[in-house]
Amino acid sequence: MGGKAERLVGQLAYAAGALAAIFLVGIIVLTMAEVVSRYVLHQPLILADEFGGYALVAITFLGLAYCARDKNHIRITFIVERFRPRTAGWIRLVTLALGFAFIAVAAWVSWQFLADSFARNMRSNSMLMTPLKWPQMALPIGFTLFALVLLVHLVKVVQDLKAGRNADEFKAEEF
Amino acid sequence: MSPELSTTLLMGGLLVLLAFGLEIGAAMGLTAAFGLVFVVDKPLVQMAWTAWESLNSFTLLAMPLFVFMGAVFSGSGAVHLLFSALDKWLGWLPGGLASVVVAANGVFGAISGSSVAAAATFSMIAYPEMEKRRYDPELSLGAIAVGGTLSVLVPPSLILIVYGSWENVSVARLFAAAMIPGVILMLLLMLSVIVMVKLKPSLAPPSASATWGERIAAIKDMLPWLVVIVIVMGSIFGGLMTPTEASALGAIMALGIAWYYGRLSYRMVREAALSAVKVTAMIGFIIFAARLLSFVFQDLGATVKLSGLVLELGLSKYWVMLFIVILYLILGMFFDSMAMMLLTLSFVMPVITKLGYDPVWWGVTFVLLAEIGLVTPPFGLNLFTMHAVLPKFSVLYIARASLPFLAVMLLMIWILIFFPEIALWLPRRLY
Repeated sequence: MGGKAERLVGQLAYAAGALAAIFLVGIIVLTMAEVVSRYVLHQPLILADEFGGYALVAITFLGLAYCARDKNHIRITFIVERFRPRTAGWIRLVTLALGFAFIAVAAWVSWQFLADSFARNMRSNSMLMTPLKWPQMALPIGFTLFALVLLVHLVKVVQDLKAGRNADEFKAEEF
Repeated sequence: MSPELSTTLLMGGLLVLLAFGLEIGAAMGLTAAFGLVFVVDKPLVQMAWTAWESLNSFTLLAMPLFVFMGAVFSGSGAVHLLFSALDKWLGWLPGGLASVVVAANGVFGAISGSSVAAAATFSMIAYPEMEKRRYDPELSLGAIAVGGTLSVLVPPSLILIVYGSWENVSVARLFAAAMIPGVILMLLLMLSVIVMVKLKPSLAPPSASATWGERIAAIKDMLPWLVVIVIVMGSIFGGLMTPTEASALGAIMALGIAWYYGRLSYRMVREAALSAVKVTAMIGFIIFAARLLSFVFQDLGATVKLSGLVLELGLSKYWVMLFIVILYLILGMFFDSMAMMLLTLSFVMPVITKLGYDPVWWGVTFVLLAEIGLVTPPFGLNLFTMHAVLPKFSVLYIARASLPFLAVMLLMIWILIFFPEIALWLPRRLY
């Protein structure tokens, strides 16, 4: 995989993160509107509680890939740091492959989950009866991008191991 | 395979994955997925269900909002002003700036719910000033590292938000319960600074006293903090707003304060929102994975069995608590606090409640235990954060500097165990 694919995945991850940030700011405004409407207009909107949950789902899952791109997902590195860089590289190769496999499966089942939600036209059991397919979209999209980012990291480790380089990937990442 | 064996094997596999440096969330999720398919025989689509249900929560939404609010506050330059204002008021104490760091952390903690953010902020703001005035680095670093732990204890607190939503305990009650222990811990830490400097005067330069004129002038720099804290916490404790609503209000007020100080910009808001997204994604991923794992363990009956086993030992509740405290002190050396909590909660919680401990009280006590883990090597996030800001000090050096203050935190845990009313009195008064 060339630098082009890597850049594209990085940009997609950032775009998803930016979208998550927009949802974050949006839900702040909506929650405030709810409070104002309750205390000032004496007429609750009854929107924020439900949409707040959806917003958190969106923020979390759309943020996954962005967080992974910047290597902010927390992991324990003080043990692998003791190994020789090459051994550490091989271990990272295995753990990244496992991580990728898990996220890829999560992405796969989330697409099924979404397809099911579409097929059965599932709705929330609130007054709004929101079609759940819209907020649920964050799951497969987020997991798929996350898997792509991990794949890019994986390819990089393979390339580094081949070339005999000690990539950053083998060193500690601190949150 | 017997459930006991399966549980042990899954746990063992998880520990291997974690030790080899797989991302914590992925390690937990992978173990859970394995258990789902090969042990409890449930369809994999459960993963998507759990992902959806574990994060579709208005209560948990308080987490990104408080992170955002803290980030905007930090970016507004108000922390710097708070620090120098508190210096005017408390600088006369022996070991002046170290006490100021602790007090400033207590106040910052009422805005921010993350210890790492506090450690980073004060390493940048307080350390250079302390170096300039020739404080012993051991005292400075210890105060910053351990002072940072006040940020999580003093509400709002990210750990308490996640704990409350996981265990269905009211977050507002948890915040109320953390209030008095937070203030006591702050005073104890300041007291220990004074004692340390009295015992070893070379730790700090002689402290200088500010004039009353300077003090009065400093009040206006503390005012924005007071206003935001009183309104945000007041609306939660007064029952006017849920913690999530209050966090949205706090975020708006933080933006207002950034504007007041002339620091409000598109770039600043964007960075604050993006950093909140990252923290949320990281923690949310672990929450999802932990939910999935606890689904498997609960299906296996592992959690009930283990708690039954512990209770059968017939130990008094204090002995069991001692055991749990030691367990967490050890785990805290290797885990980050959120992961540690989510990994152990489904096993520990049944024991805690069956022994008659209050879940609200336990939330607060756990925060203290988790906080100790943030400053104990080899894995202590506050240590890493400070090392990243001040690379000339090694992680171990910062850990050693924090050691004397850890005794104070252990004392605080001891106080909470024997006088639980310290935590439980306020929520009982309010609700």
